[in-house]
Amino acid sequence: MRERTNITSVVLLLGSNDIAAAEILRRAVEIIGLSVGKVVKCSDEHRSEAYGFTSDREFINLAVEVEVEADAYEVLRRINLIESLLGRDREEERRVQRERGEVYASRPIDIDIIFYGDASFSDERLTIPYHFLDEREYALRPVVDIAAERRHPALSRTPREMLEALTM
Amino acid sequence: MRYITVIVAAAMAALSLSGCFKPEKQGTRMLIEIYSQNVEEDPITHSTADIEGYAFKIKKGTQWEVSSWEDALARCITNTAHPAEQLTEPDIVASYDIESEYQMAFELWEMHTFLVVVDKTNRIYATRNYDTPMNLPEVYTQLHLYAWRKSGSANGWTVTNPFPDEKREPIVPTEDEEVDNEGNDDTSDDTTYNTTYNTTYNTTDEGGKEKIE
Repeated sequence: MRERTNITSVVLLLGSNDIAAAEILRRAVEIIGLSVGKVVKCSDEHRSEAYGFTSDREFINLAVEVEVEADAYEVLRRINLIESLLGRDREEERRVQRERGEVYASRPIDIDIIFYGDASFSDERLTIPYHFLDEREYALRPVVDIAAERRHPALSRTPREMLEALTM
Repeated sequence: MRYITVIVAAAMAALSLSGCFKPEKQGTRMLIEIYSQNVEEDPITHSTADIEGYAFKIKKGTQWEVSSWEDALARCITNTAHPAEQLTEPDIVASYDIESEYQMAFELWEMHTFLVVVDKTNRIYATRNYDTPMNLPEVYTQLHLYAWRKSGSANGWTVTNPFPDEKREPIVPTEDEEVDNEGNDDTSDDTTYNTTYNTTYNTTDEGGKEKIE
């Protein structure tokens, strides 16, 4: 029996400023391949200072392109589960944020959906594409490695163009 | 949801217990997109230079360098802590395809490697200490070899320009040259080299892919 399935190309951004960040990210990519979809491209690891909060440790970010059959909300559920399994504690993060009055906090792993096919929407749970992409160099650099010419459906600009505008 | 939870938990447990899910070590293919500029005013384009890449297996924690332009051409690297120690037979030679979007590919099977990319046309080279991410798919990265720039580091690469004061010719003809070329059938329609931004991307397979059960 032949079954028609829709495969959607999804770009995920992974970040960590844990002491074992590189190892955590590599494991996350392996688990994504097992539970979210086939990982077809992986960017280089890019290092940057923490954004939105103070931390002694730098962040490592990388991006992956994944072929998925699930819808965007299901992808979100799965990556949240992976974050939890790799030690992310959102309650603890919120407590630290309140204490320090900062927007973000250190975390062992953070996974965001950058692109879900060429979808463009926003609701209380999810914003697709990632809403700060054109403002954040730490996100753009790994995305440019694997999807430099992929046009942002809402902004009509490519990650390469966004990065050039940000760094010029 | 429960099904997915079980899958992810099982995957995580396997990875945690074994340290590595796959029983055999698998290498990684590093694909490098190389960009160049001869002078600062040039557009950033895919490099069309004569480029070669090679890599050495190194011991963890050791630091290596290419000591000179001659060494870069001779495929010779030097241990920075013990300059008498040199390696001259690369373990890996990268493939180079000028027509490909990612022109250079390293097949990396060793955990710790020292990568060297040499632009023979513009006489600059880049090096990198690289801990290969085993069991990951292909890794895509970019390398910017700008002939007008002095030596520096970016994105894990150290780019060395041994001849920073050398006069470089622009990739794109200047306005003066364009005027000179007017009326020349061979060049009048070919004053820019737009090889970088012509790729298109299909995010979904229209109509879906077929799965046979």
